Amino acid sequence: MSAIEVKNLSRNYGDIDAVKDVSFTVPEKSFTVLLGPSGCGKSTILKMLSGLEQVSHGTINIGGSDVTEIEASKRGVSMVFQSYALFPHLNVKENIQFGLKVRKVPAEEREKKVKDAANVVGLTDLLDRKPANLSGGQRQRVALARSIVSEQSVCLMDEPLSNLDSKLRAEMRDEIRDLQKRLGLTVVYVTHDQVEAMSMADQIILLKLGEIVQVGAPEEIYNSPNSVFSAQFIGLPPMNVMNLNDIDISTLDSKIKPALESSIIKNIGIRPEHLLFSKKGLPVTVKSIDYFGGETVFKLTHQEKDFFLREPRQPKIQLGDKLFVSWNLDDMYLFDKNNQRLKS
Amino acid sequence: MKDSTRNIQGWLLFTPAAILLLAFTHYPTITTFFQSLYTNKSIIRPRRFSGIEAYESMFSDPIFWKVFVNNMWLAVGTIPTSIGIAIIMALIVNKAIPGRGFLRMAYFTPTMLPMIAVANIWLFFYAPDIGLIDKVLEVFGFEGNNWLGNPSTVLPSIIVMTVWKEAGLFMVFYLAGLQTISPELEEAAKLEGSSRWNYFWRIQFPLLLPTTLFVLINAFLNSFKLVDHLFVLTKGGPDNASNLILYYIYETAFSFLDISYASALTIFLLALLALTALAQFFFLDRRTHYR
Repeated sequence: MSAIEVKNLSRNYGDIDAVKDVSFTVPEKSFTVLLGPSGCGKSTILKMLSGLEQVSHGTINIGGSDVTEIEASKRGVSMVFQSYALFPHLNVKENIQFGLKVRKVPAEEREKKVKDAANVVGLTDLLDRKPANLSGGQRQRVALARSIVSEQSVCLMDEPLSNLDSKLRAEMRDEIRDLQKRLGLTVVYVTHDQVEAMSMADQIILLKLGEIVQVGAPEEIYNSPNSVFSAQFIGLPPMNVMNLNDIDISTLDSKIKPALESSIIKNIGIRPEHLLFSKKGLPVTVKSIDYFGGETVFKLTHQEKDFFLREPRQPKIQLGDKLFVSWNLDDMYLFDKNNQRLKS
Repeated sequence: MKDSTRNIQGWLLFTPAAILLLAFTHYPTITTFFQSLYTNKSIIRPRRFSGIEAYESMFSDPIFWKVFVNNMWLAVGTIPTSIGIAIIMALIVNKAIPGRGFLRMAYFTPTMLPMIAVANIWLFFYAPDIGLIDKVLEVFGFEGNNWLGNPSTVLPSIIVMTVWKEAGLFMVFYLAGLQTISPELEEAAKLEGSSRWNYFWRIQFPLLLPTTLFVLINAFLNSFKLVDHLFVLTKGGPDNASNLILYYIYETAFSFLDISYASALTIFLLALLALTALAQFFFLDRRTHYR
């Protein structure tokens, strides 16, 4: 059963369409990530789900009932904001129980729920602190606790990790994922960071300019992107996409050449880890070398076009070296003139 | 640079401001204080030291007590009302409504007008029989009143006008205060089911507390400083019913030419305002730390 069902959702501001005819479903107890560059409408979609933003067209169904016209507090969703939205004059405890007080939950029950939620996120010792006296990670936990205590089955998260440093971000990523599993929450998570999406999501909804580009599990999108945009948005460094006019086809392997004969092929794509240094093939010059310890990323040029090659080992290669690269036929993606993937 | 040269440079930079402050603020204050300790000089009697005599006569002067109580009533009458109206106006113009810019300006206009001009407008409102208020009352069959000529209505009339004049200024402070509150807080509260009313009392009002304290002190100071309108409207009358301390000082000094007594009144007012300013210093600094 799906917890959230969105049909033909649109939002326009005057002449500008922020979200165009978007439809998707979020399975129950799943972790769905809305991913896309800034301005792709992902936050607008989240806000429409929460009820904080008006819907121009389409319907939203949460937990089996149509909530398109229902006010935010009655939709059965909680939300974690990018800036955490903690009330600065209230201490941690008051922040967590704000909603319980609004709903006039009796004091005893309130006490217990706050204690439980604080326990879950590890805030028990900080209940009397004001938000100003907490670190970024602790504030994030308060926001999570506030969401947990509301006991809504759907939790919406708007870039909750973007204000944290990278080490803390990795920790919180695991924690949020773990929390979602333990509490059986349905999470819709907005981010522009593909690493977050890849590591946390059950399902990624990739957006561009207010439209859905591709929906699928992380490995599905990584392994079979349906367009140049999908291919390049996910993966770091991004997939190398080369226009056939820019490469010297005559130098390519005899197994690859026949695959490129069709006239509808415009671009080819190869992931950086699938490019191999070899005795013959595409002639390249080494332009830069980034050593990361576990892997090395080379920036290479061929006929003034740059692309990346990723190596787990540390080959003895120096800047300016002239080498050859090749790849396996199976690792090559083909795209047409509209940048859509051609199934080979 | 050596420390001593730095010090000299610092003092040189400080000197122009210091001279102005000393010459036009501190020196007159001190002379006023000494004047209050001496009797007035006249042709037949030379000035003599009288100690705290002027202060003693101040505390036994029924008119002084009357203007002091008037001033306190003015403060009590204007401050809570103007703050309340200012908050409501700020909440209205903080929303994204059509014509917001116009509304903001409309609310702020009374503050921009000089007090004398405001008083002239209100003189017309309050005029007996032909004035706006009496005309409106007449329509509903009520009898007219000489608002500014009647000792029991003159102070309330002044209060109403002062509220009208001040609320716009305070609104600007509250608007600035409201705009420092992140809109995400309202969204978070909304999702929790908090009503508009609940959100105001639990979140907005507490977060505006520093603004409120600031406005409170300013409103209190203003209620002692603003007397321009008395020159136009009532001259403190009838029977001192609308007289205020600062206007009384002016009358004593320049109409009754009793410089000694006026000096004593000035020192009293100065002490009162200084105490308030100190309170502002300590309260505000402590209350604003969480921002």
